[in-house]
Amino acid sequence: MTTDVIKETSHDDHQNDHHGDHKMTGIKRWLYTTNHKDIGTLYLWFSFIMLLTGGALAMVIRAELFQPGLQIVEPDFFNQLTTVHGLIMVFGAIMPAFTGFANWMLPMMVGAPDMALPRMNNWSFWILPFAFGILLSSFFMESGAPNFGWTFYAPLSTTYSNGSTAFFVFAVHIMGISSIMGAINIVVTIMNMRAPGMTYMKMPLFVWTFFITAYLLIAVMPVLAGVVTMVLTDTYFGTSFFNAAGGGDPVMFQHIFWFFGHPEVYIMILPAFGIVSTIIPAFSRKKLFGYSSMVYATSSIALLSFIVWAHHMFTTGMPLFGELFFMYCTMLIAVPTGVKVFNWVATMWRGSLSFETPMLFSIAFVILFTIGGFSGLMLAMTPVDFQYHDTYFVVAHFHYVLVTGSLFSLYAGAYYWLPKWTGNMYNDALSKWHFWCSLISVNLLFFPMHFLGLAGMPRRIPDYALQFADFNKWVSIGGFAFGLSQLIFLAVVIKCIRGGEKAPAKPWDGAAGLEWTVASPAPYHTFSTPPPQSDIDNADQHSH
Amino acid sequence: MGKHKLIWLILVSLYTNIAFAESQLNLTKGVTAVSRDVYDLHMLVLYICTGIGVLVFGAMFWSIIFHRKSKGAKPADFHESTKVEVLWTAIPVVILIAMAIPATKTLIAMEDNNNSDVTIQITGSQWKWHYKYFDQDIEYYSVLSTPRDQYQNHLDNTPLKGENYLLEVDKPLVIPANKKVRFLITSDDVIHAWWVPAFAVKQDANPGFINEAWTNVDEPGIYRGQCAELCGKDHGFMPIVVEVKSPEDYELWLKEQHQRIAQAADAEKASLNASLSKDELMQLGETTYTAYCSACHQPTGQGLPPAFPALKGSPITTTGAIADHINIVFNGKAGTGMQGYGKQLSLKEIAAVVTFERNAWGNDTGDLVQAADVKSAVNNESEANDAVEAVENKTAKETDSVTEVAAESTSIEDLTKEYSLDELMTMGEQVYMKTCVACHQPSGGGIPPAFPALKGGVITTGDVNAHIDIVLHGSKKNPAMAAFSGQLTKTEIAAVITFERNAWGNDTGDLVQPAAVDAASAK
Repeated sequence: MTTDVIKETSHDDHQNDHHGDHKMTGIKRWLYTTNHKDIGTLYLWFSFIMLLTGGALAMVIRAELFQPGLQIVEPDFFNQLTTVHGLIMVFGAIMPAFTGFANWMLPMMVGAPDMALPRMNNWSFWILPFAFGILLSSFFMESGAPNFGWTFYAPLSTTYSNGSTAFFVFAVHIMGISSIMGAINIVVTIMNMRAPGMTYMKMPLFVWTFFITAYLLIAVMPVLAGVVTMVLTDTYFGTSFFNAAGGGDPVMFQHIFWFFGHPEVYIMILPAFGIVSTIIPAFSRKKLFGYSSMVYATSSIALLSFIVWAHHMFTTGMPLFGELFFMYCTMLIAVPTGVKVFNWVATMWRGSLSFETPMLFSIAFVILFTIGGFSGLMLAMTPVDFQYHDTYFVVAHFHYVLVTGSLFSLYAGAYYWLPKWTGNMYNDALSKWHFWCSLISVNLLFFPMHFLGLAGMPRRIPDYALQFADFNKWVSIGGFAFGLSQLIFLAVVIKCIRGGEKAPAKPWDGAAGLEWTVASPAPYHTFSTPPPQSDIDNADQHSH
Repeated sequence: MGKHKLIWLILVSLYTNIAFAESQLNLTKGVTAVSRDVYDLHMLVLYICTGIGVLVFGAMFWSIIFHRKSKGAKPADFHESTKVEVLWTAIPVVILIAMAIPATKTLIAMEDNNNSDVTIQITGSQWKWHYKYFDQDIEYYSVLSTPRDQYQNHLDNTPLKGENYLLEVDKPLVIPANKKVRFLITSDDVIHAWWVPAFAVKQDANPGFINEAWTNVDEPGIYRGQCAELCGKDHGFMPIVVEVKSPEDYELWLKEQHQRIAQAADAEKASLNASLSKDELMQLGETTYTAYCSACHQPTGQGLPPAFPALKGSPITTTGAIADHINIVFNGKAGTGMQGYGKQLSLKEIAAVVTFERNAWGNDTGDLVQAADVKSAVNNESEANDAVEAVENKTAKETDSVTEVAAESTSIEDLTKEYSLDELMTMGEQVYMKTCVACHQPSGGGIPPAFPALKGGVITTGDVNAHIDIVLHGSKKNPAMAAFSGQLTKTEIAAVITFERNAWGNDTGDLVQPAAVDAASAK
């Protein structure tokens, strides 16, 4: 350990002498890399591959649900599809994509040369392909893939599992370890590597949201690890944590799972807030409205996320007092979330707006995420939740916040920083096609799901009653269109990497932030010496 | 600008297009005071959200339209205002409180399980519901009655789907209207959830724990719901149907049930002494297997390993002891999806299905199992002893008490009443859809050769008395055709026969009155 540190230091010194790009070539560059930009790139590509994988599973689901009857898959395989789709999208697409953004942008935004723990950074990425390799390999085994829903409620995932539980548990353990390492890295980087003069309240909001998210991850990932371990021992070692016959309680599973699960939801949305809070001011050519209230609102959401978990469990037979407590706390979340939305609108108000693709995705984010927030508020009302719970209304709700919320913010961020990452401007026309095709198809895909849920269609069913047939057909068509639209993004990115109009250091006239003070593409090593105080002050989103 | 308008136009027209389709868009108001409160609450929040949405998105689109750089808009300099922040923190709090008050009231009402008139225990299991009436000795399973070939349609020749496709069961839960009915909800295996939207009741069925819920329905009728918690393979195939009857009809129904239980108990006793031929056992066994076992173990006996093992060539169904085989079917196998069927199937049916499994698909053990064998095998299993004794005691008790009930109920049924063709046809169709449709199909086309067509069939167009006889006493040639004299009232039998003789173009014009059925059954 000590020798490592010494070697590292001397290596750094050596590098400072030459200021060269000392990177290996070929596959070794990517396997051994400790460079935050390389690792960010790896995370982003990995998450996009996972997005397409999870999307492919969703396409099969939508094909099966295109019309009533069982046409393509058997019910058991259908359950495997929904389960793995959920796991891949949550742990494989959205979360690693945000980690990718954190890796690429955080050091540059705080004026640091790299992440604080570069070797751990390498580790935390490279265990991920193994986690998902294990998870996906179960499709090809006799038992089949996990079929108990991404929420893996006991005892369906324990006593009654199809034999895939062990693979599922080990895959989740690895994902969890990766997330915890990534989160520790983010926290340490932000706390220790900020350029001199960048106080906490001068950090870009993007940095704040990742800072808070990382704390949430460190707090709840061990809870997930605990609950999957209990599932493992209940299944294979004869324990009875969740088995009433042995003195356990299946509902306790849900309490522990959702104690992880609800903060997890905010882990997937707070960084999205950070991204759009960066982009909206840039294309409104106006500073972010209410920077400090944004910081407080984000922190409040994070704190509240720990005391609302049981709103996922209103139908489990909670006592009245419990239902009231969790209903009130959940409704309270609407307050800081509302503050954020109002601040974004106030930022745009009397700005000088232009509508480049990152801005289009950000505006769509604000509107569609707010729609998801509205349905969230409706779901918070316990008596009505008895009707909505486990129907397509819930499916509509969380896809609005995760797809048109998190995923749209990721696209916004990708278009915003692609010039910085590749040194080239992306193809504008193609990117607009991507936006408009996605916007229309995603609404065709998810909006009618509200109606389906209200009309009484339960989620996670492979076949449905005839009155749900019309909407399901539309939803499936929207699904296929949305799936195909994402290939446009792939084309944009590949074209952008291979060439295109050269990007200046700061391609957006309204953009603020230290990342725009370095060249495009960003050099392999940036901020080997801290940026001058004047740059920090200029980059500041809330001048005085 | 033009682009935005176009897009929104397309979006709006898409949605109106959908809205015109014959689909339900909104939450049901339901048929209980609670469900209406829930609906009102839903609408209240929906309106509030829409209002806030219009304001916020309105302000946003105002900026998008008027504060554009392309229109020469110059950015303003403001970026902070404590006053505004406090305001848009405080106003939502007030709105939320306004929403929380009615929600709290409704919730308190929903959770008041006291003073119920009827209590029913609901037990979910993979993948059916079991209903048990407290203080009534009535209990039965309720399973999906949509024929398998309606939904397994990767085969091309899918029959037309019925109106209540996937939302129909063999025996609905029956409850009285205008009474507070309390449900005690639990599960035998994984977590299920019992949900009927029209009652606004959704409650998880947790194994090892009992949840409470209640309803008080205004109008008699048939209400449908589904399991709402992922419970494994056939989660999408365990619907809930509740038939709400007027209190008088409900009492009548209770009596019929008691009568039916008594007859079943008699049949069970008789079957202990009967010795069925191999053909009879195989036929009954196949029917039972198709209805209860084939979903998991598959019609081919090859199962869906590893969760649902193959029975074809399996040690359990071939070389293993018959008694062990019987015990697995009767009591289930702990720690697996295999549940016990002792409660659901008669001894005769279990004997038949075990015989079938030991001789079908080339298993060819030649073993014959009779109802008496099942009883002795189960009795020898020390664990099961108590349960069986209880069943026997109960049976004995029921036989005594039910004779009087039967007498009573016959007196209630007015056999001299003459019904019109329309009345008989309406009632007959209901009975048919409940009792006969699974085998003879909605089209009357049956599933030949096991279940013959009634459309244009000899029985339904030939001699009326032979028709009555076969419905009353079952078919001697085909054991799949059960005797319905115990299950249906004479009026119902009269109606269903009339229906069968006049539906699907049979058009015999025959009217069968309850008196005729009574006369035939007296013979």
